Amino acid sequence: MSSMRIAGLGVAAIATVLGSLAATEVEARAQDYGDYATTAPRKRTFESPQHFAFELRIGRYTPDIDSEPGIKGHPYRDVFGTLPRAMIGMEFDWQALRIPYVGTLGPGVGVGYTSMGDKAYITGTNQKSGEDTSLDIYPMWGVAVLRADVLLKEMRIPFVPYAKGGIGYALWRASNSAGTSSQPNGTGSVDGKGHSWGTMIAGGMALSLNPLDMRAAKQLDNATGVNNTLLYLEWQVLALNGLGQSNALHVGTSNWVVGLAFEF
Amino acid sequence: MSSRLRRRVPILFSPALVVSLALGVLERDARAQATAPTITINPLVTRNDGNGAASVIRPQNLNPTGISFSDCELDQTLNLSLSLSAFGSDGHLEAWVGGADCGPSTARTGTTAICWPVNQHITVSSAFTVPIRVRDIVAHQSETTKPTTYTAAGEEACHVQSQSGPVSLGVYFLWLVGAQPDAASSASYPVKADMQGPGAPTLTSIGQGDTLLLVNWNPVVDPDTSGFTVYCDPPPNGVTPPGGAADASTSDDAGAPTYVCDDGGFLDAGFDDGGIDDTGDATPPQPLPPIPIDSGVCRLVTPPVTPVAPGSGACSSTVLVAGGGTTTTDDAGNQTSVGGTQRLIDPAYICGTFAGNNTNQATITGLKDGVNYTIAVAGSDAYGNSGPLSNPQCGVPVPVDDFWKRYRESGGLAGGGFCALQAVGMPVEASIFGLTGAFAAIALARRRQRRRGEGKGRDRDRDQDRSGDDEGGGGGGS
Repeated sequence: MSSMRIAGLGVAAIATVLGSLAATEVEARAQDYGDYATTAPRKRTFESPQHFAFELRIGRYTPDIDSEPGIKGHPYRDVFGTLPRAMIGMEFDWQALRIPYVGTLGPGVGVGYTSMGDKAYITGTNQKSGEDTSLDIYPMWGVAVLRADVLLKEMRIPFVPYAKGGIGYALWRASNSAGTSSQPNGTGSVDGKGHSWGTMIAGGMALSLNPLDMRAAKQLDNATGVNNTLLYLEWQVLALNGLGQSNALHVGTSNWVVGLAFEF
Repeated sequence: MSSRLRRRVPILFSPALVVSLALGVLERDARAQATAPTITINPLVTRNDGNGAASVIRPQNLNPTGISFSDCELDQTLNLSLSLSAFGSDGHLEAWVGGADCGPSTARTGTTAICWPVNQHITVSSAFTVPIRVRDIVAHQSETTKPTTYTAAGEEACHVQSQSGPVSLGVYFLWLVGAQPDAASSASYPVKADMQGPGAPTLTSIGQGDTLLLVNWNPVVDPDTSGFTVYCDPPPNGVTPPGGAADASTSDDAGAPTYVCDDGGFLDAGFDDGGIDDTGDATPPQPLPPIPIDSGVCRLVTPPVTPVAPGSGACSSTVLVAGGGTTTTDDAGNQTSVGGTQRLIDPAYICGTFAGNNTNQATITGLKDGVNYTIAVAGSDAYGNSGPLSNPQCGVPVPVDDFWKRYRESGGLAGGGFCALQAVGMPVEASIFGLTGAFAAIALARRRQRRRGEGKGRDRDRDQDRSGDDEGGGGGGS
């Protein structure tokens, strides 16, 4: 037996031992964590199917009202100031299509709510009155969502980049202490309420929280069917500038959003 | 038995004496039966004010059958319909009021008396109506020595209750026969009297708004409080009842309207709406002269009127006067107020009623800009009593620029559309969020249901596998 063959057998033996050890390790982890310990397709048989996602979100919101064409001055900024308001929202996605080695694609609908309020100025002065003035906005969107979870599913990298695009819509209402605001025009009065159409695009990165506690993730899946819990950061461009409308309040915004997503 | 007593026994049992005693007992029984009529009171009671007009009955939620401060001040009379059966001419009917049964003589006389008369000369028939004045009913409830003869009570009777909360009383109709001390028969009509409203709240501030005022106060802790009433002088409808001092004209403090222009816009001149000029002549509406500005946003504005101190200038009221009382604050910051003068205020001065014993603010709408209003607040109770008034303050509604006004005046053209979910009376946020959440919940529930089904399938497969193994093991062992 030449030294080369001995060396080759030694390498093979070491490889076999290492392979056995690795297999033992994987099996042991599989016993502990079930499907989450490995990416092998066969081991995923105990992971529940995944077809939906539900997001809870919060972000800053400053409507683009002052950028509306034809507006003289800064009515929004004058009344509500420059401090962004908070928007809370939620989104529900159907991961209708799974693209191999890419991720999921499907439709989603979302809704948010934001409100800004302050004291109205006494006419002709810089003095605040006791009367409240407020603007409530309920942005909604219907989008196509692509979640590239190949990194998570196949490479065990806990990041899921994603993108969204679709139409946006908002109901809004301006009110004061007496109810919905109203302003006279030539023929009567115009109530401070309406709706605005537009578009919505967004992109973001989600961090899977499952690796932080695989056992808890497995238990959550067993108990509720939630496969993944993700923390995400998203840049959202809600261009509600009156798509197809002659006169619309520009209540859209571009802002960062953070939230939790649950895939199930 | 002594010989003396033995001699008198035949006298005691003489037939004549026995007969006469028996006749006496029978006569007394017969008289008692004849003079113990049945008295029935119709529960439906009508009311008249002191001027004879039919009273305005309070709504059901304000105890319309009870007695309130207002009922007493209006000198109302309760008209109780009675029916009397089998009554004799040797008795008469009296009406007494007390907190317990007035039938026993001890309840009406002496130091133990708890009742007082409200009508001692009732003309009876088989069916008749007895008027009982509210003031007479409530007059002597706080006195330690009750009167035994009727005297009509005056307005002072309306102030005998020092603490808020209802007092249970009864109007007792007593059939009194001759010198018999106790009533031969009686019937009662229960009535509750609450004539003291909650203690006076403390008016803290009044915010200005466009045709409205925002009133803030500190409520007092009083279990009797069911809400608050805000009063305005001049009255919000502009009609001052007799006794009111101020009218709803624009305050003298209001200056002439002027144009205020911002940079970067232009002004649609509009029209002067006419009115009365300095010489008193009426002028017809006419176009305003062009506004000499280059490119600014202009608005026709009326200089705001500054509220003045109560009692001075345009803000004075002889109607809304502080009720006083002693207000104390405990360690927890809760205020209580006792005493104070409660007055009946013309309902025309009410500019808002607000339910809830912890309510501490209200928006008063429907006012006129530029008018100095005197504002006061009083707690109200379940009998419609308004307690002593708070300290009055002055407030002047002024035109304001809310967001929508600024937006439209800046050239914004949106608005007048619909807020669809609002239109059907649903809170928008609740309905939209609810729908989205419902989608997710349904999806999750269906997923879990499916998983359960799969789990059962797996269990079944596992059981089958196990039974197969058992059979194989058994075979191996044999």
